[in-house]
Amino acid sequence: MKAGAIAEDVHAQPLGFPLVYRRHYHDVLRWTRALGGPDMDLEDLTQDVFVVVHRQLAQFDGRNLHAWLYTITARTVSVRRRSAWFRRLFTRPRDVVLEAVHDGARDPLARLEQKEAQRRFFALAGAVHASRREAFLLFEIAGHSGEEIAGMQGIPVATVWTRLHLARKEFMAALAAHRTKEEP
Amino acid sequence: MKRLRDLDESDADSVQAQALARSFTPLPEGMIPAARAEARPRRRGWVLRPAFALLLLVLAGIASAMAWRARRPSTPPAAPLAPTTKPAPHATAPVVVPAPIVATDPIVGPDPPHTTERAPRPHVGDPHPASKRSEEETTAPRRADDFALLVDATAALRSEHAPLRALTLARQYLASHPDGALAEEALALACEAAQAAADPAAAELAVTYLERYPTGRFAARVRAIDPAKR
Repeated sequence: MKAGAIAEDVHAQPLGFPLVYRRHYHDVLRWTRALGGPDMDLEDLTQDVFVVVHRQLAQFDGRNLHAWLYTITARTVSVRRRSAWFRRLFTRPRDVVLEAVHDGARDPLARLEQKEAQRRFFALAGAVHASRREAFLLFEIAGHSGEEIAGMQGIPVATVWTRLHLARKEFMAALAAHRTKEEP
Repeated sequence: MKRLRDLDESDADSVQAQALARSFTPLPEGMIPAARAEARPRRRGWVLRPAFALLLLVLAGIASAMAWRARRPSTPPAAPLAPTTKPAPHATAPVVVPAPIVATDPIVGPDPPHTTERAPRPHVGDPHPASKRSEEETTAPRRADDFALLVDATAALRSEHAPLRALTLARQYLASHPDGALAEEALALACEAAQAAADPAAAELAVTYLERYPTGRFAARVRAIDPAKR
């Protein structure tokens, strides 16, 4: 969904929650997967985002729905990530539910390998500086273009490309360091 | 700028990065689940577990506190402030017990100032040598409680049959509180102790008592000590 089309929708008809939910559920789901990592319950997290959207939709100024939704998503994911370590202190570690993994893999072993690869990707992305990590994850995982990321984050496109370039370098450096460590 | 998944470089790092990035397959855009208008009630486990742990800690604390209290030796009850010593059944001598303070008793009330000035101190003419007296004084219990001092004096006279010690304690009280609430009792006790110890100061003490308390509660007994006042 392009930002321009959303703006037209907003002005064409009154912004209701069912419309926002129906049109942007998959966007938010992509963002939560990109920002939250493989260990998050993506659907639950997406629903949490829309709970906030439902609560605050009346205060939305109608300018940039995409950016507004993205801001809520990023904040919700951040809160969930921060509180995750605390919850893990008191709850049992959750087993991987194979059926919940969104992918086209056929057999359980392939699913597990895929999950492990996603975990490694996020572990390496942790080496990327925080100011560049979001743009990197949105570009690599969510599949957004530089222009879309610039629109969501409210920054110039050139800044997005600079961040992506630096983030790619940091990611590859972390990967090389990891490989060196693994290979004696 | 190409995405990692689309890299066509063949070095090992790029291949590995490509493989990692390709693990994120596109999300299926299927059915959209029904929206929740409110936050889903969370599993209560993460709330109940710390609450349960806290409850266990509190219970353990209570149990250890109870065990500690049970193990601690029980302290004896504090000695009563007011003299409650009853006269020993075998005592044949005139009974002088420090009476409890009674507010309505006119005799126990504070004396007029002029009587204080002319009241001679009872330790005049003490025939005992200084060494003996000092020995008795050191053995006397040094209690801050003056009421307990008289209780001890009574006990020394009645139970321990140590009139010298009783005399010392009574004098100690009179020296520190010449107009104290129990001055009358202390003076009567000193008279009796001096008489029991065959102390010649008994007569002087009796005179002092009768001058200060001519109609006192112990006047009849004190007169028995001082033949001149009969």
